[in-house]
Amino acid sequence: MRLAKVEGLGTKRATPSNYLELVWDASRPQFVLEAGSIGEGPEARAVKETMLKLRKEMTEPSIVSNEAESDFRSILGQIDAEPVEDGKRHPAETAMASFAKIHGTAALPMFAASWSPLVGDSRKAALLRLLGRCPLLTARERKALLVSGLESDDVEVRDAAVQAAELWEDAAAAALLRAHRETVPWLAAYIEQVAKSIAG
Amino acid sequence: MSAVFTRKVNGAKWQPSKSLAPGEVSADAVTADLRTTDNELSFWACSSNDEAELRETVLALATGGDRLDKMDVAWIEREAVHAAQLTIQETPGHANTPVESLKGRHVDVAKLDVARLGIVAGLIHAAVSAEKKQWRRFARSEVLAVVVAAVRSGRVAIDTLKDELRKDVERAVLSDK
Repeated sequence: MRLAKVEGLGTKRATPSNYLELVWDASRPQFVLEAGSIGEGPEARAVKETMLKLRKEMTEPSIVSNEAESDFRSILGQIDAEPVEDGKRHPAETAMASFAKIHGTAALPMFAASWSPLVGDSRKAALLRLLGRCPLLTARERKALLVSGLESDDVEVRDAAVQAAELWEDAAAAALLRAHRETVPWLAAYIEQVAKSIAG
Repeated sequence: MSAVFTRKVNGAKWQPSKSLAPGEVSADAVTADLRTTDNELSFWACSSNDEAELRETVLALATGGDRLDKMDVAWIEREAVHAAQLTIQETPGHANTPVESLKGRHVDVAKLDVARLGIVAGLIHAAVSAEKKQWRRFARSEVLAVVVAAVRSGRVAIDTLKDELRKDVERAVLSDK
């Protein structure tokens, strides 16, 4: 079913809403990786190629409005200009709230989770930390961001995802945190702490 | 335990980077966590690195902030700072905290040029390394507990806290009554 949906999108061309549906209905935003895990036969390769094509389309500016992309770039600019610091408000928080109001709450996580070439690991981590401070996201969007962040091979991104979960105080995230197998000891300890804290 | 200087860092930024060789100090970490003003870098003096002393740093930093987040505190030994011939100035006037009793702990590493900042970066990098483990993460709930305890004991007047932080602390104080 999931693959049919992917192929459907591939023939229609992705839009932000289709893209999100594709990513989040499966509760795993990285379909490319998902496809890679189903096997190495010809069918799997074909699916993977479709995924890669889709991913490329999704990360192209054409799938979102120029205005949204421009606003997103502006947020990235603010992140580059001033690091996100614990305990301090960041100028991009206001810009993010404004972005979410104009383009919809779904647009921010979409940008952050799409692994756009615009967003390297350091920026991803900063975005996740700021998204942790964004009260407008839905439970579904938060979950997708957390899953996506925890899957990263970069410790700063995984840590940022956990920090976001701590700020969201979403009890449902506790199970996701506990299911995650963390290899870095201090982060594993923090994950356990956060899971316990948000589970209530 | 020896006396230390503590500073808030982002522990994750100081971890080994995929793009750098082992032991190399991440420039991202330096530019994010070691931003100087007037060629000075803020630290808090502690008599040791025990838990109670680290919590004093958390209290000083958290109460001077805008909001409540987790906090990573790294520490470097005073001896190492002196051995590196870095200039330490006691600067209670630079302490950004409403906790009067903690202002006297504030110090600046002063007269920093790029080379000396590099030395500080090396000390912090070593502190956060897996070998030394001279840093401690305080989860948001722990930071909140430190501030709430200080409010309850009268060390911090709640109206000295900034709005967003004050609301979180007020809620916690009321919910535990």
